[in-house]
Amino acid sequence: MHVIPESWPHLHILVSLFPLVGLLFVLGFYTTSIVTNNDGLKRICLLVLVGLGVLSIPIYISGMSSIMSVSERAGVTENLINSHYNWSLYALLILLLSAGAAGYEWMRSGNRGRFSVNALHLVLGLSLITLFMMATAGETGWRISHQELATVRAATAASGLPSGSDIPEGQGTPQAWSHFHIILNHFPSIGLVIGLFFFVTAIVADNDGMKRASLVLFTICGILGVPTYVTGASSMWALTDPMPIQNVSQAAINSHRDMALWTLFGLAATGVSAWIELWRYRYLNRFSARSLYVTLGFALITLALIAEAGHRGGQINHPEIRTDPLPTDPDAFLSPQIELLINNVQWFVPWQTIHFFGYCLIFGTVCAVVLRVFGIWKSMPFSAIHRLLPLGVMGVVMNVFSGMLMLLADTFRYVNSNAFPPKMAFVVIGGCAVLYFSLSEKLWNTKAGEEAPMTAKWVAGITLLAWCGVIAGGRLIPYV
Amino acid sequence: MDTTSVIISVTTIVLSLLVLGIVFTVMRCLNKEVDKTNR
Repeated sequence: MHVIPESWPHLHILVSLFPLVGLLFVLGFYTTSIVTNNDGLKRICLLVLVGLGVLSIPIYISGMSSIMSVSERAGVTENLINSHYNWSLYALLILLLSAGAAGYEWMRSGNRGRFSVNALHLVLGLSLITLFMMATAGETGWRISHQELATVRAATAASGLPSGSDIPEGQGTPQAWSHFHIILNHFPSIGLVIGLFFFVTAIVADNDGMKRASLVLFTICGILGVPTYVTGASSMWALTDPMPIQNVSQAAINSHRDMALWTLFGLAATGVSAWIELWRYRYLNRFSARSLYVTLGFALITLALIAEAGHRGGQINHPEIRTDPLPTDPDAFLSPQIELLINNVQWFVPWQTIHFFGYCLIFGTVCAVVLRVFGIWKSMPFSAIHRLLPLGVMGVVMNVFSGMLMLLADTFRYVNSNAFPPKMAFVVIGGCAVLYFSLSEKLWNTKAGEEAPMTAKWVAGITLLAWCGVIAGGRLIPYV
Repeated sequence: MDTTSVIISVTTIVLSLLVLGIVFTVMRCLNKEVDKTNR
């Protein structure tokens, strides 16, 4: 596992992600603490916001010390560096201001024993401005290290090309996928770190609200693992087909892909065990210590996997952070061997059958939820329908496993089909909607004969459309 | 039927039964404690 930075650019890349992606997740916890009036969670969030502010010091120092090494890279102009410097400077100043306000409210609330609503809202407002500034600074920073994002390939330049089964390899995959992957891959990784911090704190402080919020974050990280892995496959083609971009090696990519596949399964295990605990909490009104420690174990193993996957991914296109020699044999890894195996019809068809079983479970569960929420099964309490949700989640797990194996059979044609990106977007929407049905207090309290809340009806409608889109998108892949 | 068709059919049936078994076992384990508590 490589987590200790060995150079200034390496430290800068690692630490600067926390006040950007990390801040987004911390704000999720902070907003939850305000909405649920959980004082323990509020205090921890304020303290974490102070911690993120302190990170501005290593970010600034490592950024200044990295200028020399990155300015030597081809395509890095003075304007690009100045733009990143200016945005980052303003972003760090606002970050310090937010951290100062959070620290002041943390001390003040500790002395007086209560929170000021205005101060809490001020911290939230300043943090949202920081998030916007950090996102802009991050975007300008990524443009420095990722010159390939500006590369226009044949497929990007000439719109209206045939897609799906008609695309021959060599036409190029749009670089937009690389850009998307660079942004997206930080969400499950940083989310897992933030989630683990709050989860361990919640277990120590025995704060059920904080435990539930951390379990929700683990589930979201599990869902986000799917589009992250898929966009990674698209990026591979964007970087290597028809000709590899300078300094990019297929062996380094395959090394990253192997670890990414293990990480995907780790994220799925963490997300599912977290969701099951959220589901059980509804009936038992308490958490099982053993189950919480199982989730903690999965999260820790996944953190180790994701740190290594991230390190190997960084090696692909960050020559300034390379210390060890890169691998040279592209066939020496597991992913190409799985590709060969699953490409054989003897393995593809059985896994495709499992994929269809998964759809049946998901769609059946979604239909049952929609029938109750829309009032067609009004005589049933929602708690009865809630018992069916694990069936749908098991369907999702079956399809993530079988779907990723099927993707490996012919990644190029899958990622370049016009039906595949919307299908993946619908998977994320449909997956997140399941969280609503697990968490909504109003919906849980809907008794037999009672009307479900209007929000639930909207979410149910979106969920039904999303999973219809997933099924239709999947079937359309070979044709559009 | 040729050998490939036999292998595909047998693998599909075995894998499907295995997954079905896993689904029912997981549902049984999950609902056992819930049923006990809500009896």
